Amino acid sequence: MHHGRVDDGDGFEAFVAVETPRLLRVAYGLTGNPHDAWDLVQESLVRVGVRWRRLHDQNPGGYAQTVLVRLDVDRHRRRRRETPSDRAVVADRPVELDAPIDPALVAALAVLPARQRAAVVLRTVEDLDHAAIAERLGCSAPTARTHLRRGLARLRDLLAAADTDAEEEVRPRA
Amino acid sequence: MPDHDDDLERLLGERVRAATATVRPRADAPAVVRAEVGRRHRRRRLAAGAAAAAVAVAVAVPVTVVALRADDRDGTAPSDRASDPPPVDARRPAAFFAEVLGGRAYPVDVSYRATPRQRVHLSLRWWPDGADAPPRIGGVAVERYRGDATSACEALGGSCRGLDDGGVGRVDETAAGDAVLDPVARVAPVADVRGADPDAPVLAATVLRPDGWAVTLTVCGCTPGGERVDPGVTTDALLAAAADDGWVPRPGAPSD
Repeated sequence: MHHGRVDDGDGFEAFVAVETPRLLRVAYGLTGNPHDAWDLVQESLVRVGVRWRRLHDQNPGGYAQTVLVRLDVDRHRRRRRETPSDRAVVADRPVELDAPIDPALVAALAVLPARQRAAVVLRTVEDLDHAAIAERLGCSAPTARTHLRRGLARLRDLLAAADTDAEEEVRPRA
Repeated sequence: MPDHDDDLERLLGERVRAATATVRPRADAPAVVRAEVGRRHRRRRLAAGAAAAAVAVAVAVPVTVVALRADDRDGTAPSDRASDPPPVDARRPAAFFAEVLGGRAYPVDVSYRATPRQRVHLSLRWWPDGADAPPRIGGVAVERYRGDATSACEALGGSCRGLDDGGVGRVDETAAGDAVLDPVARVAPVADVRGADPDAPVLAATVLRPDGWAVTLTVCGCTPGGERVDPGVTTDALLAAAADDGWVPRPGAPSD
């Protein structure tokens, strides 16, 4: 049986050091909260780690991003049929926040279908082209382009509506 | 807001980038990842060792096995073990499998070696012998599991999902040639996947049902020729298949 070995000398630790902040930003954009973001990041890195011997000379960063995005898509599908377990243990996650994420943005991103949200985040945070987004999502480049275009348009509309609501809340009543 | 896609992308991009730039890993994050990778490697090594040991016990010392079963009936063994009957096979028409999983993955045959002390299943790929073969799928085991489903699932480690019907499910993913967990925290080296893409994912979904039965469905995300299916079956679809309430023991199988 083949097991990838992970130790100080094989580059995995350097990979983790470099990729964790990048993956965390993407995951934060996808989930809107640091705990879920870390869970996605950790699972993605661990899956790379256990396959490190096979992946290290390929594109482990891309593989980790792909795993992360697909885990997020699956996470949202599961929500339709899950109920929270009251035995779930909420562990401390090794993440820090400089400031809370923009609440209007979180709410708007959360409304987007998972693949549209992933396309938007991968484009805006990682500056990926359509082909790379398609690879992460497991779809064709034209489909990825459509996800991105629709996601951006929807996000624009949602944020515009949120801004309007916020303005009405602060406007003095006659 | 501008209508041009590039301007829209730039404006929204700045806002998304600014928001996501506020999060960063703590200094101990790499150690957390390293520890989890190590834990999974250890789990796999233990899995491989236990599988080999279980086969050896089943083949070499049947007399001991019989004696231990007698102990179990007398109540001298822990109750969980005493109440564990052998797993039984279940069958569903191939059409069910194709419908639920959308042709994204193929079943992996599961055969069990059980002893009173531990239960191990060995997974082998299974394919129909041809168009004339009877329609059936492999890779499904229905087990009697008398324990609290949630605590039983959590004892396996990893994440467990509460399902709408009160059951609990989990999905393990590994690569062909590696190991997955079976429903009672034992081991299942996915052996003899000759010709398979080594990166083809093998997924095992286990649902611990509220009625005390557990269903495990193991699939390989590869074609019968061993090539990886991309996109593969989703964990959600696989879990839905395992959670389907139509799984029943094969006629003639022991029911209790």
